[in-house]
Amino acid sequence: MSETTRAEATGPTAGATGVDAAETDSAAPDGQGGMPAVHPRRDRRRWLLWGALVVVLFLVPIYLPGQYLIVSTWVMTGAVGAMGLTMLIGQAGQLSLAHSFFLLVGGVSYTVLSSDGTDGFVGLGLPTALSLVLAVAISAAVGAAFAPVSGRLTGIYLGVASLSLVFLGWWLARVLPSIAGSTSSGRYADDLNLFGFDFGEKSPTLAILGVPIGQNERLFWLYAALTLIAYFVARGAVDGRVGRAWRAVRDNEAAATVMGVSVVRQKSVAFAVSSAYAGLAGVMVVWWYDGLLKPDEAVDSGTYSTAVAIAYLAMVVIGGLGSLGGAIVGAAVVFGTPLIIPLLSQGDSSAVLSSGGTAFSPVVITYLAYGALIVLIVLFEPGGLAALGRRLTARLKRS
Amino acid sequence: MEFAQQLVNGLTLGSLYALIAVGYTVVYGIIQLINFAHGEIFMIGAFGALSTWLVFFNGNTSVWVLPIMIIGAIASSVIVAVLMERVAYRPLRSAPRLAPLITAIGISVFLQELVRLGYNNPLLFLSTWNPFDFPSAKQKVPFPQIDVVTGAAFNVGGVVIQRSTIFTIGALIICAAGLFYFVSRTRTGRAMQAVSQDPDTARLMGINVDRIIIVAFVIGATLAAVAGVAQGLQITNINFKMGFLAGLKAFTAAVLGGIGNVWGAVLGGLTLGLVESMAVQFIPGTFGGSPWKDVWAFAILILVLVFRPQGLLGAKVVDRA
Repeated sequence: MSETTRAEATGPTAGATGVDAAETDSAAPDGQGGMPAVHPRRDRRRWLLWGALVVVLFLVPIYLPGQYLIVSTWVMTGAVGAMGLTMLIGQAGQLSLAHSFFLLVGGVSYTVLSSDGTDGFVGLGLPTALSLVLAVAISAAVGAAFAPVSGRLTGIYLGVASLSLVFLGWWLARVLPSIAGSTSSGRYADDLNLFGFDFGEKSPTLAILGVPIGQNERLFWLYAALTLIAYFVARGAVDGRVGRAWRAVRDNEAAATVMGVSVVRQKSVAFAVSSAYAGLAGVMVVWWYDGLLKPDEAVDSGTYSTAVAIAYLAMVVIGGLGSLGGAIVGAAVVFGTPLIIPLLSQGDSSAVLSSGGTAFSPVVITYLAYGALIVLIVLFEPGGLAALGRRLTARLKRS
Repeated sequence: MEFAQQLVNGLTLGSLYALIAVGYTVVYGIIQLINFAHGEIFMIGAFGALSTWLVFFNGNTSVWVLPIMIIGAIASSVIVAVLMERVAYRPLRSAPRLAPLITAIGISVFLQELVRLGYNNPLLFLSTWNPFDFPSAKQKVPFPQIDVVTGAAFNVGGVVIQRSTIFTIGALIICAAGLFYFVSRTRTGRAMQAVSQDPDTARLMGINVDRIIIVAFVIGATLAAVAGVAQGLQITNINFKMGFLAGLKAFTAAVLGGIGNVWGAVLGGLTLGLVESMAVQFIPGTFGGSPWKDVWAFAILILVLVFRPQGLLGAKVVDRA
């Protein structure tokens, strides 16, 4: 594998943020909002950039080895979830630690809706694409059902109240193994099958440029498409009426009420939207694990645990609260680096040798690093990497 | 009989919650900040006591060791709490309200991981230097069982009272009495009351508000450290994540009692402990028993927040709804 393919590895995320940074100039994320006045030529250039990004994303799986694709798809699950959370925390100003609960809701809903029930678990046997849409809708509905709490509380009170959902989901998954699978062996969900194209195909017959298009490649395309769709929907919400209402609520509830914004309603809507994003990310997590849905043994470590909720918080803080592009970069930092460092340094092994001669795995210190990064970023660059990027591009333009 | 037994268990648990909850409420009363990382101060206290024992008295379980362990616990908790205030909260006093909450969560994760990875390996991956042969904190670490608590349990008419229970409840009584004396009789305590009523006027009267804020953190850390020792004696082991759930429960207790009100925190802690023990013992069926023991705290928290945000004893405030 040459250096050029490695450069490709950072291609998709770097490209996406480049465009986003250019865009936020006119989209004014900090509340001045309004219709962005876009020069026609600039508009055309933006379409060209998006087109180029799509082409690059299409080509990436053909050039990139499978293990990098696995890292990229994992980063994209994080990116989708983090976009939801950054809207809730950064735009609406509501702290939520329930993101991993909604991952579980999305994953379980998809699995129950799509599997046919022949394996002894509860299943409805719906078409997979319909199940995906319904799973996202169910996550949104569960988020909306939390409205009596999410609409009234703010700050740490909402944070801890939403954390209770993670505990609730953990207990429910344990006492209902026929729905969520057992904690030891779990249960399997079906791959997404769109017009006969199986996105989890393990023994592919299709090949492009001599590269067999197997599960990794297919999932990459699927996840890239879902991430782009999620990004555009979120962009629309943030730049539109809803986003302005959220920022009004965040900045001053009394003023928002005077302007005719229903504070309780907007808080609940933000919570439901962020839940829908987490639900989609939850389905992506299940696919990423080869369709395996397995509840956690412990509430504080595992796929749907409090630790994951905090990892998502770390993503949106590191990326920059409220910034969608930042959420994607944050996902790359939090989900990507622990996996990519061992890949880059020693090919495949999971441990890195330090100067003292003791081997350690980067995964071990990730939470220590998130904790420290969260504190440092809030103290020294509250806008996160997004603000850093904006300042950098502004400086480049000036010179 | 079963009821009396659960009463004792509930009061023991409640005393622990109350000791930790005071830390949330004292700090909130002064600067309207929820120190989400306070649960980790409790955990640091337990590890501070263990470290003191390992460094100075390894193997010695005489009674006179206990006070020195408690001093070690308080010292480590206080140092961490004051550093936390200085590094992560003070610079954010005029920042948006979400900012200190987010740093608090970051600190909480950081401290847990630091103890988990660094307790037997203080230089982390740079070297394996471990001068006092501390055990690895990745699993549960046995806590020294001092002679005061190892004796046979008392049996009062069929109700079993462990010696550690007496220590825990006694610790709450002594700490509450000390706190009462401090807050209402000393100069600093009265200055604290003044700052919590009106920080600006207090400053004009010559009170050093920064110092009072540190005092609030020190008080919270002291009580949390005592709770950490009590927990270690009670459960016989400690671990790096013990502060997380205990912190959440104590937060619930503080909210239940009315955040900002010290006696509310004590009352809320005892109530929560009793509710938890009783619910586990007496609620039958699927929702009863120990698997659901943590759910009651959250249920109470949500109910209180939605229906009575000022808690049992708190003043009416509008900032959380």
